[in-house]
Amino acid sequence: MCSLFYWVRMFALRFTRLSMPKACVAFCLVLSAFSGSPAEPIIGGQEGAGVRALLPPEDVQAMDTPRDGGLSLTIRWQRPTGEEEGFSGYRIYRSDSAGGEFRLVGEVDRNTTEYQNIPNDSIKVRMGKEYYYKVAAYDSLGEAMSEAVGPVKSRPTWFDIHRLPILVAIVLFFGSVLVFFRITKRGRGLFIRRIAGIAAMEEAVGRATELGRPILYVPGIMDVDNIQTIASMVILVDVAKLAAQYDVPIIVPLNRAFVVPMAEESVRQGFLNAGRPDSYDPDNVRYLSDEQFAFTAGVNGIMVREKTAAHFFLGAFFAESLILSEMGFSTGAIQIAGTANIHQLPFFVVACDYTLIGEEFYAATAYISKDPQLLGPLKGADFMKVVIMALLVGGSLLELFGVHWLTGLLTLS
Amino acid sequence: MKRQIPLLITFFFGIFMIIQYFIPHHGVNEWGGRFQGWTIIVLAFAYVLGVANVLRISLEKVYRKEADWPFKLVTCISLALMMVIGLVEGVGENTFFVRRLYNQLYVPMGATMYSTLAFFIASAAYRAFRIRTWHAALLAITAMLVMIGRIPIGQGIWSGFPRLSDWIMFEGPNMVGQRAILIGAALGAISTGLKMVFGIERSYLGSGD
Amino acid sequence: MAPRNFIILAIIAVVILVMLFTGAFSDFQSLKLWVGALLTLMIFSFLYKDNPFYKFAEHLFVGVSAAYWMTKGIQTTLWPNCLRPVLLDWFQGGAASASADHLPFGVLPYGIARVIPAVFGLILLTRLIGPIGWFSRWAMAFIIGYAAGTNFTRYLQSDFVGQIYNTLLPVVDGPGAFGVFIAYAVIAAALILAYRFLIAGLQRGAGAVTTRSIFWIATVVFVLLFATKFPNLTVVTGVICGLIYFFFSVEHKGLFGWTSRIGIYMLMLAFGATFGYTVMARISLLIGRMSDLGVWLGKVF
Repeated sequence: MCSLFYWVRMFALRFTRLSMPKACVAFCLVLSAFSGSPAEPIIGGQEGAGVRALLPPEDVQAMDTPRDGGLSLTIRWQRPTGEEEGFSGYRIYRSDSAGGEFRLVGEVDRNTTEYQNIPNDSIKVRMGKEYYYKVAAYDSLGEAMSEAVGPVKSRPTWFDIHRLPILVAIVLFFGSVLVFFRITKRGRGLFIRRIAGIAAMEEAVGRATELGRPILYVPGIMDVDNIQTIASMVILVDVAKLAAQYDVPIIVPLNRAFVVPMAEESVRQGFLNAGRPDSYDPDNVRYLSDEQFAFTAGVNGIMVREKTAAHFFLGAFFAESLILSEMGFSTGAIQIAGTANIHQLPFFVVACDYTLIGEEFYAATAYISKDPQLLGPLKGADFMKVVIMALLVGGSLLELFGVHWLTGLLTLS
Repeated sequence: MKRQIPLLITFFFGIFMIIQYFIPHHGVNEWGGRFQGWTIIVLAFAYVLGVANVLRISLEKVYRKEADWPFKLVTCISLALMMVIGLVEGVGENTFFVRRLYNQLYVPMGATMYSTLAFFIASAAYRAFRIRTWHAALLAITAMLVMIGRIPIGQGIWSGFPRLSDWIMFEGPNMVGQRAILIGAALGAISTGLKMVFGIERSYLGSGD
Repeated sequence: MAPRNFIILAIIAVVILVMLFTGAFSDFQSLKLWVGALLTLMIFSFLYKDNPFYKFAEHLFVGVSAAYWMTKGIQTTLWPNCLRPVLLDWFQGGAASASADHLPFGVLPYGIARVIPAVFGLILLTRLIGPIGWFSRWAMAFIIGYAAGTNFTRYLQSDFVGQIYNTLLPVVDGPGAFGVFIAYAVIAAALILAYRFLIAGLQRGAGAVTTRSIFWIATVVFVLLFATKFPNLTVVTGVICGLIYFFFSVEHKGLFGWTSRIGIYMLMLAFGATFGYTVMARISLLIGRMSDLGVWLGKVF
């Protein structure tokens, strides 16, 4: 103590020109600055609740986000032990180096223990670059920061393993289609059961011919990026061929502009296939409007004024299906409908003479043409149904005995 | 060439979109997103074809003075006026195009057409409840049970009707039937997609000339 | 003048007179109300019969809506996303050099990538030029390829694997239910045997009708009880029967035919449920439109 007093006095007189009491205080402050004492927890706490220490998150980990595009990193942590609800949430900081400046990346509430630094964040992740992260618990009075973790860098995934069931389904389906192709190439016929609605198409066209009135073909109200519209365009070729053979006009009102060239090609091809290209009238392929009910009003007008005798509603329909089918019924026309839109099927079933339900609609073109190449996918679909039924029976039995292996496999996320 | 190149284009883009589904790599996804943007733009170009089709057919009928030609003239004039105003003024919320033409012509007529569904469903219901086959009987009985369960008088008749209606709709036959249709339709859609991508079905592209 | 045309002109004259009398042209709000109401009545008139007023409204609607969508498509999609960037690139040094950045994998500069949809679009428009109209198939092929590929995986995920996953259910809940299941199975077997050996062979007559009615009522009650007691088993069985209905490779005869028939019955139940559910929604649409007409009528009278 005497030597300490001596050094304080010397420090005061030589370096500070302070009086002794002030020099002692200054000396103590300087001493404490270099004492290397352990960092005290930042004092914080709820206002009015007294001062208490906020603890940093525990077990902070940073890793590459699995099964992503390579522009995302995931940070996980544990809630500080013993920390109840005395803080607001967590802040996540990032730096390019362990000792560099850490910038705020995001904030989450106190019940969350994971954060993803994703491309939509204002501070993005660059693929292959190393980063360091810190997580801080915070409240209105301050933060408790964890140690920095890293380096971590993002890597892209080239195959999402969770989508393996889809790939297996594709391989199975392709394989079955190829097998059926080979069977048909060997000259063996493939049986397809009778589908009443498709078999009635020729009857409908024939009836229109007898009455001397045109056919109406409505390919749905969706655009060409809907698979039902594409399927409808394919069926249109066959129906147009029938119309050409029976020498009856076919009117095709359209709800989407892009379907116009496709419908023109389909109808023209149908007439060409029937050997009557000169009978093709491009004015019968009519774009009305993209608006659902303007289109419906226009089709109603065509039904009533041009007195169409056979109606084909084949494609994707919505609320207008009821109006079209009821209006068509009131004109006395024979009506054949087909759609995969479940909610419109009841109205078609009630008002139309024949309704192709879901897959029957897609099967129409293979059924009509009997082309072996088109029958292959149809048979492949039947094979897949057998697989599905086996999966359902087997999977349900497994579930009964508490084995969730199959449901786990089919979880795609 | 007139057919081969379109088939190659269909194959390339179809296969890419299938493969892209399995690859989370951001570069591949960015290409997929770009193709999606391209389709939206190309579909927008198609509006020109649609309007050209309407004008061609309508003006031909006006020129030849066919039946109802004055109404075709109404179509042409309304289309032309609306288009010119929209292209010159723009399609913002406060433009004449939207405030007057769209809100006062388009909207009331669309709403009215939509409301005619109520009349048509009455005639559909009348026909649905003429029970002649087992299928019609099942359809009619189920429809009646669901309807009764959803109105207050149904609950007054029997307190179990709402629960029965909910069971039919969300846990029972409706769910089962829809699931079977969805699975079948999915298989149909997949086989149609396969036929398109691999060029097995190509009639929609027309002949080689 | 034909009587029909005279009636039409008379109606128009009366409407204009009423509008003048009620001050419809005095302010814009009144005129707006009248226009909306008249168009509504014109559309509704089709429910009685096709007539010139409906034809006018229909053709007006078609013209206005076709123009609306085309204009909106150009102003909100084509111009800002395609034409404007391409023109800017062109006038600021050409598309090839407009941007040094490339799309991922360094295949294509952004500038060229912006031009490609415009090229496809212009190719589509060659449809309007007869001799080179076949070029438009290239644009169609692009859209169809994209749509087919996208839908392929989308349907596989949501409507195929997703639906199978949701149908994988434990058919019986717990070991205690096994005993009840056996009891139900015995009753089902008894009903099947009763139908096979008793009901199917019944001759016509009042007694036969009564017996058949009792049998089918008992069967329906049994099925309902079974469905509520074993809902998971009902779902799995119903889906399998529905899939059998869509099986095209085998003739629907015998046992296969019976299960297929159960499948179509399930579908009919689903259709009935959807039908009943939709009726309520459609009625509410009419109520909305009628209330608008009521406001107009209030103004007139």
